[in-house]
Amino acid sequence: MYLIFSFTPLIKTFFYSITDWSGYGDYNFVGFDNFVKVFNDKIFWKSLLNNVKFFFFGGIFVFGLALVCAAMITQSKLKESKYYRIILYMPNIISGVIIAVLWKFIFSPNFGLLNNFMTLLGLEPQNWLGQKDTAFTCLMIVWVWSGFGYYMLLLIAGIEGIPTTYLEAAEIDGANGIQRFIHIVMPMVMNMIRTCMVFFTMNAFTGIYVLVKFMTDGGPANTTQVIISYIYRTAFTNSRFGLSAAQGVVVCILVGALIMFMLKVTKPKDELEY
Amino acid sequence: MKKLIAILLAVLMVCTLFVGCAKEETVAPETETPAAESEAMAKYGFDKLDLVCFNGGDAGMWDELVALFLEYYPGVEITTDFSDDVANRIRARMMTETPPDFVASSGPEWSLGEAVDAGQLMDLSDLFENGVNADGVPIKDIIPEAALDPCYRNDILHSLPGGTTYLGWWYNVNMFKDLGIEAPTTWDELYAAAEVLNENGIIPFMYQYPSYGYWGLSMELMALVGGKELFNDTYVTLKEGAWTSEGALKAIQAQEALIKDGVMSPLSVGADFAASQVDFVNGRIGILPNGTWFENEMKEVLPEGFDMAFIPVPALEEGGPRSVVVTGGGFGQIPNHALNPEAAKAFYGVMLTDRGQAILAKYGKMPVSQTLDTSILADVMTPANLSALESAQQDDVIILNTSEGYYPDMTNKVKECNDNLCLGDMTAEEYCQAMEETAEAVRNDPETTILQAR
Repeated sequence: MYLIFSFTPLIKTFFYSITDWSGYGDYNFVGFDNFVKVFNDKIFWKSLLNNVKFFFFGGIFVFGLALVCAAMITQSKLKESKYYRIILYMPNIISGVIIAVLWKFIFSPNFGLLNNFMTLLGLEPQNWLGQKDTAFTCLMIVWVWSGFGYYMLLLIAGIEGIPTTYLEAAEIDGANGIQRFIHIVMPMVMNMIRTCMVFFTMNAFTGIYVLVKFMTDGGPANTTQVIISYIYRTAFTNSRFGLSAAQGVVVCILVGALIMFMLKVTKPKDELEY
Repeated sequence: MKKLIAILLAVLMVCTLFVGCAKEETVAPETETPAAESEAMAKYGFDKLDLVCFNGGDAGMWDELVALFLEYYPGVEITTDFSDDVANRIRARMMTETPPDFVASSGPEWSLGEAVDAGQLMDLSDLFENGVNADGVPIKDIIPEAALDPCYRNDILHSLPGGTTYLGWWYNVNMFKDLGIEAPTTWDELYAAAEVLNENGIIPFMYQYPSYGYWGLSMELMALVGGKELFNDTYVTLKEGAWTSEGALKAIQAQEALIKDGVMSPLSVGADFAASQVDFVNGRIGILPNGTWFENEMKEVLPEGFDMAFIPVPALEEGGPRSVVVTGGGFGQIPNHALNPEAAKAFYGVMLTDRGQAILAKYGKMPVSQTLDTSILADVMTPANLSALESAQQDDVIILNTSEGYYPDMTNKVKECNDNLCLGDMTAEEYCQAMEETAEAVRNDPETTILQAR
């Protein structure tokens, strides 16, 4: 199955990246011409930079929220904590397309919920998705909202796997909640955090595509263009399958290198045993 | 045992993938016996027809055409795939050399030019010269030669024009009447109308993001300033220096002024496509660019008593030309590897009968037939589309033949520049310079075929 659905398309992508295939007929080998075009393409790098912004700034908010919520749910004594898990995870079970369409209506300049609320407060309505300085932020908000629940669940699983004896012993020794969290919980869930970072990195470079496609389509003026929507456009709108394959290969290499770098940097010096 | 179950589950999963692939309906002949099929083959030379067609604002049209086809050719088994996302399915079938017999698509993912350049579409010159419609009338007597212009890509006649869709500006008739505004025919009249609309809290003009910015404004402005010649130089042949010419600059300055003077709303940038159209029919926007499929597309949400009419893009000066765009041009193509090309040609022949043309007219496609008794149009076309037909046939209207966009890189750049112009992040001079640079890159790209103007 892996060979058919993952490995073979990967090999074919590498193959097409050195051709000028338009998606309709025959192709010619063009060597590394496509890669030269990729490296000279300003919009490609601008799109990739947008993904880096999602990765960096989105990561702070996603992991921050996920950690805080995971800590509160596991460390608090609330009876309702299991319901909070469900509520906070719920955006993850909604299709990305539906989320995008829903939020597009919320941000609608004419009849959107947000502008109606702002009008009630006496504030000027905005064209949220049509202005360069707000479109990206809006996408970031939606992406964080729709994604942090998944990482929260993974971290909850990691935290709940920690033997309670360590936390009880720390409490007896006088450590407060924050100290227990920083010195015991965090080191012990570091492996889970590393796993989350891998998933998050892949999501930051690929998963954001659905929101961008259905909310802004990369606009205004390519401000919110991300790499996958740009690759899609190159292939299916511009009919440059060879070039889009080359773009995909470059992204694959860069993201792969980033993930390996992150795993190396976050690898604990000593493995924890308990 | 567990291993066996796992293997069986894996096989089942793979099988479900193939089961889920097909998305076609089959219109079976009334009798399905082998004798009926061979009868159709013996009678017509074909007994199957596979249609894959875009179904958007003209939803319902293809079903009526299929029904008409079966009246002329009973016993033919027809397979249909009508939806608004057929472009990639057509491409996939062409790639695997199992194309449909007749294709008609639209939208940014339909690369008609690339399909022609790759030799995927049949040259229909012979069909035009020697073919007849389903009533036996020669096709070259039906279709005026001038109507073939948008159907050529260099020397290949890739389509025949079954029906033409005009794209221009639609205005809210009742709103204009209530406010005492005349439908603008000049830029001054447009500005006057905009002043009244703004006073009443109505957006005078905006476009559905992003494509209608260039379909419904940018392209026409070139023609308004420099006629079809300037349009061809800037959008078709990409003549060197065309975009930095005085004419091109004047056109883009007119577009820039629309925004600065409050005629065009900057909400055009990022506006939801469907929401813009809903806003128009709900009286929040005065003028919106769209094609003659507009009314049919919005029929489910049109308020009671809503009335709209079509105008060409107004002249920049008194006595100057106005402009509309013909979208699509050709109406359907026959792939070179089609299994039943004769059936596809017969389908063209049905479209070009008077009854076929009436069906097209009903759904907003302006009939192309010059032998058609036009008195029937009043019975089948809505008043809104009749206004489009009448407007587009005025002597002062320049008709621009265009498909989705001649060159994807140019189209993408126009969209980007329109965004920047609308947001005030780019001047008209910078717009023209950016377009000139893009035109140069496209001209120098060995993978791009530069078109000839017709």
